[in-house]
Amino acid sequence: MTRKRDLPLGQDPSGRYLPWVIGLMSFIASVAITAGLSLTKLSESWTRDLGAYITIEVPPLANDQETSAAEAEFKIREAVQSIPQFGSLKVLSTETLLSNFVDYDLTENDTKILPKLYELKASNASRGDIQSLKDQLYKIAPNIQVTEHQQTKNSMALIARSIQFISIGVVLIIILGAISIIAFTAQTSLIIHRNVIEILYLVGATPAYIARQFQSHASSVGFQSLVINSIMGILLWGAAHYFGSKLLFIDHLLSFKIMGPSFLVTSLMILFFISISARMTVKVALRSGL
Amino acid sequence: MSTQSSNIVSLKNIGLTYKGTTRLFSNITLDIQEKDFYFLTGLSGAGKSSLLKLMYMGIAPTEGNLFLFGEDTKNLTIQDLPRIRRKMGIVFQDFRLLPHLTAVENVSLPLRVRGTDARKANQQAQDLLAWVGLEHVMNQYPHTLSGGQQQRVAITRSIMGRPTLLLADEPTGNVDEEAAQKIMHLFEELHRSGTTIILATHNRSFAKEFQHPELFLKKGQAFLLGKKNKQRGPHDT
Repeated sequence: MTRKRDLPLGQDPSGRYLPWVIGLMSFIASVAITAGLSLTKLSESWTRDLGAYITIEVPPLANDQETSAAEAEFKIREAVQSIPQFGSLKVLSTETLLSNFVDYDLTENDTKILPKLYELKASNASRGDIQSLKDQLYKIAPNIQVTEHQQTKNSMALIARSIQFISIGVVLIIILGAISIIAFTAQTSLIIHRNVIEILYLVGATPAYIARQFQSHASSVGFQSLVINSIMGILLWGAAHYFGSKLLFIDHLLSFKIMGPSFLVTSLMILFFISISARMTVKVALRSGL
Repeated sequence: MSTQSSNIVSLKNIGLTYKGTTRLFSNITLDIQEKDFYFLTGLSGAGKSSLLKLMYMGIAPTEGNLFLFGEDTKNLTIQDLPRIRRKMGIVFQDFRLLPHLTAVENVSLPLRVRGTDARKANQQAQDLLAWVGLEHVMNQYPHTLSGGQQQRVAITRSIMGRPTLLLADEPTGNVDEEAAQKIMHLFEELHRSGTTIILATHNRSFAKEFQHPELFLKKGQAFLLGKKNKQRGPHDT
């Protein structure tokens, strides 16, 4: 014989759409957590890959370009080598960089009007080393641009951290919302099932027993919302991989390794909080003499 | 008069006033001992249900002291109520069965709320339902049962936890004559097995037929009628 709840909480009209509402809230919280974690991962990747480099941009020179460019590159190499904290200087291929943005092959004339780009590893260099290099480079050509990616990385990391905080805030608000919804629903159910609760009391039920009935129901709602959230998560992941590769690399951001645990942990967290919320609400209400 | 500790229910100068103005009882004193069987009678509105409600702590007296199983109810907290109520069985005129549970699930409820395993509780409920002749309806829902069957299910539920005290409020009020007789014989059998019973009824002929003393309520006073002479209160006749 299957065990039914002594309180028919599942039959309440007020709670009919509760799994869907909590499921949707879990989904929003899960997406926020996924976004936060993805940006953390991206930020870490920038720290590793971007922060250690400096880009030197030499604009095209007006006269006798070939000679001047070659001379400029020679002098830049000399300047770099004069400071031992810098690594080797790597010429970046302008054609390769532009190939993502133009849909035809670049000619020699095209590349002549483009600046020359150099990448310099600067992980061991101090602020003083970088300033010293900049001074030397400006003597070679005053319009040389030196871009320190550390600064860009810091700005990006700040944005990423802000998004992380926002996502944590969103999750907290959603958890509080879910707790409130369950608390109000439990209070409504206490009124709806007043007669049944009175009978349970008369046959010797304790407030804890009645509260457990509500907790069990809330856990069941939480489990249903977990399933709904998981289905929506799988659909989102599928959609991101189907359409996302053409849109801002969303497919890379929403990796299953991050999404799966985020969705599961968020759903379980919400399940835990709503079941505790239901139990505590009912206990307090019964103690204060429903 | 017996001591409070040997009394199952003891009312000391109990008074009950509703909403501060309507005085239902005043100065009622009586002791009910183990294995007693009382009919609680009186006209409609005399306060039979209210007196039972006092006894199962559904309401608190406005005057006097109520002792249940030797404990002064004034000293009990909300946490103590289940412990006291588990020593009682309560039967209502309107049965108060849970409509979403089958007969056997309703009957096993008192055991389940005590933490007994559901399977074991249902097995015991089935045995008890068979004892009252309802084995053929045990898996049916209350709305599919007759009034008499529902009341027998309700009585079975009330005795499931092996209560020391059984309080019945007009248990035959909503059933036909034949079912009423069956129910009264069921109470007789429970009394013979050692249960203390207080049965509220407007039908005073039961008191004569079953030869148990009668607590007659009139104008806020309780009068003991009949042959019971174990104990007497100040309003006994």
